[in-house]
This record gives sequence, structure tokens and C-alpha cells, in this order.
Amino acid sequence: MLGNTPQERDYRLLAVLVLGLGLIPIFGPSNYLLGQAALYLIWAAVVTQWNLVLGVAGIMSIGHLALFAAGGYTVALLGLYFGLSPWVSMPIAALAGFAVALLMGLATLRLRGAYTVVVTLAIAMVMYQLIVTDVECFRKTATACYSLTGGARGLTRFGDFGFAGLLGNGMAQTGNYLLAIALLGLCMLAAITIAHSPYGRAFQALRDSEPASQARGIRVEKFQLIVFAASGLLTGLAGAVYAGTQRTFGPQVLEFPTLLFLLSIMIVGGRGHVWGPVLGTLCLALVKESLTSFAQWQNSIYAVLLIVILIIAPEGLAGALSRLVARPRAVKKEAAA
Amino acid sequence: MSVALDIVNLTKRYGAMAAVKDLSFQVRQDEILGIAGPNGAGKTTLFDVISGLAAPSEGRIALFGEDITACRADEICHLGLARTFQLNAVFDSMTVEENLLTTAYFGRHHRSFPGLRFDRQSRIDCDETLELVGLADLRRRPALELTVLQRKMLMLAGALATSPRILMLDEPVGGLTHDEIGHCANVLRRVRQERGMTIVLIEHVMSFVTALADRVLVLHHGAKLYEGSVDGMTRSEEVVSAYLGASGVRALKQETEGQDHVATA
Repeated sequence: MLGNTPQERDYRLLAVLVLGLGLIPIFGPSNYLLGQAALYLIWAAVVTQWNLVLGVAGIMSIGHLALFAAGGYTVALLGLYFGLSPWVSMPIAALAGFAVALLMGLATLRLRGAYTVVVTLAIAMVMYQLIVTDVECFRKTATACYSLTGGARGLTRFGDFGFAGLLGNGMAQTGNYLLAIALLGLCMLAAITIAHSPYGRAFQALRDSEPASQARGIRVEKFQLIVFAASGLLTGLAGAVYAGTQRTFGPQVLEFPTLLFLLSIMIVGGRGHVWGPVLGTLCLALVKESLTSFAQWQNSIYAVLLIVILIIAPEGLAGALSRLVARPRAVKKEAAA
Repeated sequence: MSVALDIVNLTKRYGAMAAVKDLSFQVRQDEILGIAGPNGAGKTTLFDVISGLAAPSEGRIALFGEDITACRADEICHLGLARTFQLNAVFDSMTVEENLLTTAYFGRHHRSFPGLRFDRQSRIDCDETLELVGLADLRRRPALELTVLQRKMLMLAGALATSPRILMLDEPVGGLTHDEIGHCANVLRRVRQERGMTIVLIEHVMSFVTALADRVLVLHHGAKLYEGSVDGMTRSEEVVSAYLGASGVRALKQETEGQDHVATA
């Protein structure tokens, strides 16, 4: 029923997930719930792409949110200064993410491990510093003066996807929610396809045995760059969806709490596992929403959660789950033999 | 007969220690060359240097007339040389089939922009190789769950799936039982028959070498001790002394003299 190969099984699971999530608005959840859900779906989509780079391709990039910011700022700036709708600027945002990913990939292509971490983080931090230190007056209104990038305050009033007009008043959050599902579906589709493709196998081979992979003609550096750039495209798109649904975009996405939150999602879900980001987001969303009254402890709680997971289940929820599924099957096979 | 592999004055030094010392030999096309020698003779280092995993310190290596001295391991693989490893190097996180699809896809020629699916040729190569080594029934089995013999066969299949012209096997039957060694020899005979392949093999199990090899090369301390026929090797005093020491040579002489004595009596 679940398909013949693991790849078909993953596609079917994804179809079920997208359909299931898509049916939720029928039950009339509150706008608050839909809005929060849309946000988490976008984060899940970003982590699918980050996981593809860090977990699958083995590039130790910590600066993935720079690609997200490139996409988000593209939509915000084009909306603000050229009046472009996010629908129009979305493909440009994807290209912006692609371009930043390509640059980042080329800069780190010859680096390994910790060096890649430092350089990618540095690129994201430079981006952050450039934005928050941008205070020069660029745009004057009657009451205030705004800088080009909005500085530390970020950008607002650059337009949205206009679901209120398309679907009717009060339906804006439903529209945002459905768009976020489409984004996650697309990102998951890409992640599943790449993980099971020759690219995914080449990375897997390298992890299993470096000399054996080289002796079988595998050289991954260029494949890493291709996957990095492709993930940049979709991460930029995720940034665009974030900007167009949240109607605000600021440098906070490049700050430490966002990084820690998304990293927690990836580690808790299971680095390198296709279903890790979805499981991790579900887990972290439940933690975050149930702890809203302890907001000041949030980062500490994520950190503790990360440490606990790294100790008891270093492969994350997806890893633990796949082992639970695999074990009874192996036992059954032995019993049959 | 044309030359498949030409090794000229090859030296590989690790610091002050020369693991391979000024070694020259040729492998003829379609022959099976056995490489023997005591532990630490430099056999595996020689394989590492030829297959591009380690850079030579001096000397020249030519594969079917093409200089590959400065080539990387992946380039040498694409030129048609496939090697196996002493320790079982298969891709443990994959199934048998995924292992072979991956090596068939990336091993045959260079891929600038791999596709998102494995191509038809890779699937054909994978199926053929599975049949050849007798793993067709286990294609969906994770590599980690295979027995020692099956893993050895998978590693051989991985090398064969790259469609090599020359196969280099590093201790293909080390650690196997008598029956399993027989199975391995049969598979290699079939490979040679069906694909007409040049094979170089390192092996300590002498019965396996003598059963398969056309010629033998014996290394000692990284240098050539003997090159020639299998029969000549067992009669060579240098070879016996390298394995058994001077007292071994004396004992062997006494034994053969004793046998002569018994025979004449």
C-alpha cells in the first residue's frame, strides 16, 4: 500500500500529509491558529532545505538564514520601492536566494567542517550587521525617516498576497495557510527527490566510505554546489512567502534565536532524514506554544532540548522512528526464515 | 600481447620509510597476475598508488598506454581501472541494489550534472552484475545485513558495475572458508570468461593464487623478489627465505633431500 520503493513511499506519505493539512481549514480553526500554523509550515520548509545542505549533502553551513533573508528582503524592497506584488517578486526572490547560495557555496567549496561553519556564519552575520547599521535617511514620510533596508526595525507595508481580496474578507489567514502548505509540499518534494537521486547516493557513499567512493568515480564537491544552489532557490522562495504572509520582514530572522530555533528543529527531527524537519517542527511548535508564558526561558529550553536529544537520540525523532519501524520487520523476516 | 598496466620505477615513501621501492613490472592484457609477499611487503600501498588514492613519490604508471601517474582516483576509475579493498568497503547505509546503481552510475564515466534519476544503462549494469556474482535474490537487502562472503561479493560487484577493463583485487578471499574460496574462484573465472578482463590480485591464500594466476609477482620490503610462473615461485630460494627465513630454506632442502632419499631407497 505504501509503494514499492522507499522513494515512492515518501512521495505517498507527502501526498497524505499535504492533503491532511489542506483539509484542516474545513473544521473552522481560529485565525490565530491558522496564522501560527502557516508560520511553522514556513519554518519547516526552510529546515527541509537546510537539512538538504547540512544533513544530506554534508556541507556544514550555519548561514542558511542568509538565503531566507535574501528572498524576504527581495519581496519587501521590490514591494516598497516598485510596488511589485509578492506574487510577481516571488521568482526574483528565489533567484536572490539562489545567487547568495551560489556565492556562499563557491566561497566554502574548498573548506571543510568547522571552517565552513565559520565562513557561512560570518556571511550571515555580515548581512545582519549591514542591515542593522543602515540608519541613513532614504525615504521620508510626514512623521519619520526610514533607511533603505529599514535597519533594525525591518520593513512593513510593502503589500501581501492579497488573499483577503481573492478569497473574501476573513479568509486571508486561510489563504496564507494554504500557500504555506504548498511551499512545504514543494520543498519536501525537492528534498525527497534529491535524497533518493544519484546526488543523494553520492553523498551517502562518501559518508559510508571516502576511499571506496573515490575509487568508484565519485567526486562530490560540484554536486554539493549544485544542491546548495538548488536549496538556495527554494529557501529564497520561502523567504518570499514569509514576507508576503507576515507582511513584515526584518533582521530578526538573522539573529541567534531564529538560528537556534531552526537548528533545534533539524536536530530534534533528525539531521539527514527527509522527514526530520516535519517531525522536528511539530515537536518544537508544541514546545513553543505550550511555553508562551515562559518566553524569557525559551532559548534555554531549546538548548536543553537539543542537549537531551543529542544524548538520548542523536539521530533525532526520524532516526528513532525508522529504527522502531525497521526492527519488528527484521524480526519478522528472521521468524519467516 | 598488449600491455594493460605499465609500472616504471615506482617508489612510494612515507617519511623515511619506502613502502614501495623502485618497482617496475607490466600486466599484460587479459592475464591474471597474482601479487604475493609477506605482511608489510607493500602490496596494498602499491594498489593505493596505482588506483590514485595515494600519490607516488617517484616513477610512472601507464594504463593502456595512457599516463595516469598524476590522475585522481575518480579519474582512474573512469579510465577503466576498478579495485577492491582488503577491509570490506561497501556502502553500508544502502541496499545491495543501491550500492550497484551508485557505482554503475558514477563509475562508468564522469558526471558533470547528474540527473535526478538513475539512467537505464545503470539499471542494466546493476542487474547484470547482480546475476554474475549471484546476489540477485538479495537486491533489497541492506548491505549491513549481508554475511562476510556476500559483502565480499558485493564489493566485487561494485567494482564490476563500473565496467572496468582491469580489475585489481586486494585479498578477495581473506577470511573465507574453503568452500567460500572455491565459490570466489568460480565467480572470477566466470568474470574472466564473460568479460575478458585483466585481473591483478593480492592474496595470501596460495592455493587460490596458484589456481587462478597466469603469472606471479612476489614483493618483499617494497621491492620485486620474484616475477614469473607459479611453479617457479615455489622453487625460488629467495621467496622461500622471505617467508620462512634462512632456517626455513634449510629445512625445505633437508625435506626435499629426505624425500629424494626415501624415493631412492
